[in-house]
Amino acid sequence: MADRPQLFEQTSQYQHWRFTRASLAKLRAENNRLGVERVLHGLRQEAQVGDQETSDMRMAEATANMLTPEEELKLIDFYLKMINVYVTIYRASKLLKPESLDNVKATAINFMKRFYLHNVVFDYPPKSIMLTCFYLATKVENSFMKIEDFIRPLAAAEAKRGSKTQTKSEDVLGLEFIVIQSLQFELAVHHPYRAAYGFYLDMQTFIDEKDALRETYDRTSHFIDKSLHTDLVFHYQPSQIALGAFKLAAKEKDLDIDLYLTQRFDARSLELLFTVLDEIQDGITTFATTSKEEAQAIDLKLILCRNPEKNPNSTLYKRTIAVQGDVPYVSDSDSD
Amino acid sequence: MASKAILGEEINKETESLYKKEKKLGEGTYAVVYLGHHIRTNRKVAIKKIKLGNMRSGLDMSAIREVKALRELRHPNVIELIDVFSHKTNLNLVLEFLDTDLENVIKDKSLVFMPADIKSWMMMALRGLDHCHKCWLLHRDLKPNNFLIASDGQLKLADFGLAREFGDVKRAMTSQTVTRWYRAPELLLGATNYTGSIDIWAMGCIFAELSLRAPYLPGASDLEQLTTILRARGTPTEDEWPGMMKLPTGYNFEKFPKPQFSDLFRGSSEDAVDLMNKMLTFNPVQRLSAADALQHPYFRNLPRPTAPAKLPRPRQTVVDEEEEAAADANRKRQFQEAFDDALSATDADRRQAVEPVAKKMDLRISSPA
Repeated sequence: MADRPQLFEQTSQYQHWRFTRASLAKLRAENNRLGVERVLHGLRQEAQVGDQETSDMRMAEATANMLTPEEELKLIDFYLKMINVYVTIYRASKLLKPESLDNVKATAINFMKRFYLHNVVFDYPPKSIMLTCFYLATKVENSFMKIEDFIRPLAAAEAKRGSKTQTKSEDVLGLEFIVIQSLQFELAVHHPYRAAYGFYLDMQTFIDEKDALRETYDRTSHFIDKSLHTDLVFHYQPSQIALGAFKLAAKEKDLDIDLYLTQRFDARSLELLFTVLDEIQDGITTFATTSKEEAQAIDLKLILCRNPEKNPNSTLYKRTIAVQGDVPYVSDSDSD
Repeated sequence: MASKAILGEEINKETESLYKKEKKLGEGTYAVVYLGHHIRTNRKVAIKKIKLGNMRSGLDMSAIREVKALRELRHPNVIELIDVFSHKTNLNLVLEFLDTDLENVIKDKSLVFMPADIKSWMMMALRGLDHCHKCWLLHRDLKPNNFLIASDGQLKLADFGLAREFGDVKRAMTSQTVTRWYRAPELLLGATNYTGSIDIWAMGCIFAELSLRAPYLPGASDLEQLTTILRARGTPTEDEWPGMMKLPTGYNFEKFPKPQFSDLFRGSSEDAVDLMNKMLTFNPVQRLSAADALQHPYFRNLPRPTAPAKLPRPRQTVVDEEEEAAADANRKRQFQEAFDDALSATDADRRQAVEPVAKKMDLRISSPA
């Protein structure tokens, strides 16, 4: 491995979105702790505008149901999976081209994961953030569609389910600035898909079993898809994750790609690389996703511990808006 | 503040508080630019406030593209995006302050260019472009007024509203890009897969423009642009550009003879004309890359490129702000509809569909033809 800085090391992804496991856990714990404080503060504020008895009850309920950092993550994970579902909807309605699906999906998932490093679910529940991240990802990945087109399939799906709520364009656009500022306006995200393709091309000169290699490569994207939901993206580079996914696929297809690696890397690099690849394979295979039941249970708790300052349905929020005057979404008169 | 802010909103507020806007420098349909400064260091900055008032679909593609590209680029010859913050529903880009651009320099007839000056600008421009291409980014709108000039003479590539990443052959890109006079022939023929060579073509046109002090290939319409190119460069043979006819809008073109380039570029040295020709090669595969262009003997031979600080620059002109504002309001009204239509077009760039505006603003010298 060369000592001069690699191209990837200049990216915002490498410079600002890379964490050790410990620092990531610490950030999330701190984020959660401050989030809980804000909920309690919001409830105290609300107590001043509402009647005492209800407030006491609300406070007791919230305290008893406060989500832990782990519960936050589980809930977010459930909605991350929804992105995969929505991708297929937009593909079916031809609003997304097949060749852009992987990137849109991976970017949307990544945006949402990054968003919750700088926000908590108490303030912004993942259900609505997910849609905004998704819509923003379509733009970032050169797959722009009008907001009406984005909403239509959602509305159709909601109608089919007989859902009470109906997503409106304001729900998606209203959070766009909240999302983009939490992403620190860093929108370029690199994914393992292209790296995997590069490895596939390179391996062809070293591996003779062409059919097995083809099958292995095809299977690799399945493991990359899985990796997107893990925290691996915060610890490793896309090319490393791609190679880890390749190894998992190779194991399934009974293909030896270590032969390729030993020819490509020297002994010292290889030792480091194998440790990294083991960790990545581990991260992909041991990742447990959240079941619907789990998510529903956490969602129910969240209803009780939302921050009233950010909840459009709360008395406090309505009162604040009434005092400030409704801030219109489009402000032309902004004269600063 | 005791600990570092975690919340996106708090970080945003902190960023905003670092800068102070002073006065309006200019206003366009899409953004207002303010002069400002970093409060603590007093560094002069330009704050580009992107207006989203009329954007029905939220943040528009130009804003997304510009922020996405500039956040990843760090190079002395690329404009520095120092910070970004949002205020209500406005996006504010804090950019390094640059006082003039290459178009102003070319237009100022009181300035005399020496061959060494042109070499210096070309070198800086190609270095900036090479960096973009190394980061797998296409600029897609190179023209003289998108090269800004710092007070120390450094040339900086700016305006990344059409920029996008490239290199994935499976993903089609629009051929409706780049301001017409600088548009590569493969784009005019409808190519939806292209590389950095489209930016190199534009650089070749700018190189010629620096020598001629007038646009080199000023086609009057999209249709005529190709004819303008063929007339100036000679119609390529099948050998020169294999596969030309296979492009979406390829057909049998009128056969123009290859002119003597040295006649037109009499003031340019042989190596300069050679480099220019290699940047304006029809076959995009054979066209020089930015990295190759920088290795061309032109940059090694005498004269040495002028030191940036010694390059000719226009005297500061005082712009009649009121007049500009009136003209702008008029333009705005006139092309509002075009904007709305453009927004709804998939994969088409807003600015492309309002081309008439862009063109109007670009017509600085009438076509010599």
